[in-house]
Amino acid sequence: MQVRWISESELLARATSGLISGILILGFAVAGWSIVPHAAATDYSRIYQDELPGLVALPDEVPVFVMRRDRSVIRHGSATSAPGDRLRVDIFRSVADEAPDATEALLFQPTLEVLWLVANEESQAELRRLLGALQEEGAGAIEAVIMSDIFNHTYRPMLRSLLSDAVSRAWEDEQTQDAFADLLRTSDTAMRQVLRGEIEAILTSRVKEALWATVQANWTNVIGVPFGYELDYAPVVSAVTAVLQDPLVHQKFVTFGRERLTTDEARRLAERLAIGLIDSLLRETRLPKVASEIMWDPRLRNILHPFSESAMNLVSALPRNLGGLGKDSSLNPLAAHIFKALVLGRHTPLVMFVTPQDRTRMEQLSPDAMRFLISGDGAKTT
Amino acid sequence: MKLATDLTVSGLTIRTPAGVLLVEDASFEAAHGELVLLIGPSGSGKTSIINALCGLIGERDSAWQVAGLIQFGDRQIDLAKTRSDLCGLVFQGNALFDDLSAGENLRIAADHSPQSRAGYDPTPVLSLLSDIHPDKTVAACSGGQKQRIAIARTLVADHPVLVLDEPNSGLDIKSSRRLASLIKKICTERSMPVIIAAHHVDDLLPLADKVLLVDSTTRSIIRVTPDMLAIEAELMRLDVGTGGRPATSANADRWRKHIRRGSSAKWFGRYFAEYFWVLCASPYMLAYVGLGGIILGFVSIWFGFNYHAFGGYLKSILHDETLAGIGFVQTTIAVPLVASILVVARNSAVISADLGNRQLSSQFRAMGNLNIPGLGYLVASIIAANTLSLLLLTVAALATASWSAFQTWYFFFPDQPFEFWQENYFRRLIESGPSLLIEIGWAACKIVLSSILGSAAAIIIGLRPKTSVVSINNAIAEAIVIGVSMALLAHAFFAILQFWR
Repeated sequence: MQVRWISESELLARATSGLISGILILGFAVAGWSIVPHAAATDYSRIYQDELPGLVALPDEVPVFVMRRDRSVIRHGSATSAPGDRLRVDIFRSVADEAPDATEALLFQPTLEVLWLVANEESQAELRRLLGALQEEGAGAIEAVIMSDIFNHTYRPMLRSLLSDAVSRAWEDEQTQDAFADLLRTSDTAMRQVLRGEIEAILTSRVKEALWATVQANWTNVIGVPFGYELDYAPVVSAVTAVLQDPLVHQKFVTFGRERLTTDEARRLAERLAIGLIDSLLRETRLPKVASEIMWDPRLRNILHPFSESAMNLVSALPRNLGGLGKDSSLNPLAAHIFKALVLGRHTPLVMFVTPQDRTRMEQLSPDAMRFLISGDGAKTT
Repeated sequence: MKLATDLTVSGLTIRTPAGVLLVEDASFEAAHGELVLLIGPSGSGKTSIINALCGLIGERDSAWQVAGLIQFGDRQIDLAKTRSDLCGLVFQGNALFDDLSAGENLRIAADHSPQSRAGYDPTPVLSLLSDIHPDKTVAACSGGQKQRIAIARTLVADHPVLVLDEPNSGLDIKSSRRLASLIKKICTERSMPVIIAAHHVDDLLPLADKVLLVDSTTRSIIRVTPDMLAIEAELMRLDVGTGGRPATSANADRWRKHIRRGSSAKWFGRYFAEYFWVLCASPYMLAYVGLGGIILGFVSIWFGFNYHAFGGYLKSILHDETLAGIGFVQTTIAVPLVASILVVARNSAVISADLGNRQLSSQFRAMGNLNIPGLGYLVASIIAANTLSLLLLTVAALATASWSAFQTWYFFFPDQPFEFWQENYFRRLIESGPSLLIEIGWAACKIVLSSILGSAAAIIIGLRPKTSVVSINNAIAEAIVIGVSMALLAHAFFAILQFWR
């Protein structure tokens, strides 16, 4: 027998140790490589552009979703701005073949309305029923609260402060400013300066005064806006019109021409201001706190009881029907994105791929809720 | 005529796991009351033979090949099939239980001796212990006292044959002679065969009844005259036959390379490689840290999304932020912390045990005597290897924790794309942009400080004087506690600085 300087078992033990260590190190490397983010795979990228000229300015990156046949939505990729007002969509490799018939790319703002459009008919019907109950049962209670001394002394000043801020934001809103710019376009340079300066100040100040009436007229419909309810903008439109009748304003408009205050541009400005105001209130993060204080104020409990019940039913139904919550809670990445946008006050839009049939259905439900994206080069890029 | 109850060993063959044949078909006898000396040159196989007689060979390595027959009284043992339990062994170096007192060393042997020992006469044993208090610690006993306690302990276990391995090793002449006469007395009074394997036989020879020589040239056991001159002549013959080979052999060439003076710088690398393997790259270490990462990844996701009042919300509309939070905490805080605790705990034990053993066996003194900067080599190697280990193992734990986190997440959300998990899990790190390097820097600071403090504690504790194995054990426990505490403090310190903004 050949004599060895290291025993066979010792050699075997060393070799085995080395081999096992090598396998383990390889395992760590494979595990690490498989989970660490790498550069986006370009063979899964597509270029899109807005159907209408002038793509909405995008933040660095927006999420891309795909809606499947059962209307469940999963993340599908990410999109970024590309040169030439175009949009580069990078599809996740692992779900590149998911829902191949979802060929229509839609751009949405992150509002509850998107969840409403995605929700199935049963969920929409349930929410409509609960909203009806809320309006019916709660109307009297809310009316009583608003008229009560407790509310007027304690909460009205707080709400007025919130409303004032909401008006400022509504006025500074891009679309309001566009409407205002349209109105100014028809005036001469001197008048533009007047309108941008003194008239703007008067307008802002006077509209704030008229807002309470607007809220009173709209309080029940505000909750239903994302679900297809229309707002009554008439009080704000009237308020803005009243502002324009103000003697001070009149004086400034002598050279501007009174007939211009009844033009389409002026009316559109009034409407945009009202719509901007409601949107601003929906995004007001302090409002839920005040609302909560009102709801839990023991002095108002008896008055609010019927409303509380209906409101709670609706509140508990919202996450279930729009957020994927329920007995078998499942991840709804679309609801997660929108919830985060609402809570954090972000406006990161989203892109969603749907089938042509779903696009038609969504258009019928809310034609203004989305913008359509068309393939920039008609084919996958490589 | 040979007594029926004599010890007879026949056909004894022993081959080491390395394939070296020590003895082949060897035979010898030992009568009752006979003191037999087993002698032979170093490496001839004396210890292996007595291990075979005592059933201790191949305990740790089944690759030993042993054959032969032992006959004693009406018992017959085939060594190829059965381990012998006939002989009680007094180990070289005593092998006393140094966490027990002298008395307890005997009591534990007595409590585990055969039932038949009930009528046993303890007188011969007591004569061995006349100058030792039972409560005396083993560490406090002299070399001779330790040897006698070890013999007494073996006698108490009541084996029919007594075997001693180098009993006079390390004893002075007086103690050695006293021990020899005690052994002879036991041998005579108890009328039992006693076999002593020894190098230095001067003090034992006058009392020996028989001398057996392990002949490494013929691989046999031969009987020699119990005479010092005859023994020396035999040993010289064997020495010429083995150690006196011409220096031109291949083995001599191998040795020349080792003896030639070279650069001393390589020794740092040699020790660094040794410690790096033990502290980082050994399979147990890798598996241990990898498993820690896997469990951490699983726990963070499983309990992060479950068992919470808002569990449903966390899984649905709050999913993104929940996952981003878990991912950030796991990658920047939890994994580095857990990896540090696991690695520092384990490596503190290894370091303190290693240095403690070196201290106990006087290796540092030997290094000093040989002008080897032992402390420098070892301390620098340990700190460097341990720090590099912790950095690499933290990366490994991050990989397994993240992988496990994904698998657990995928269990919850099987229809969601992998990239969606990836985007959220790593979001906070990706969003941090260039400051990601700062986050990595914080983690590195925690790891490096944990490693340096943990290593330093283990080194200091390991280098303290050691008197016994028990003191090494205590040092290990101390090093783990202090090392882990240091690691926790290091992480807490840098975490406060990291998030103080």
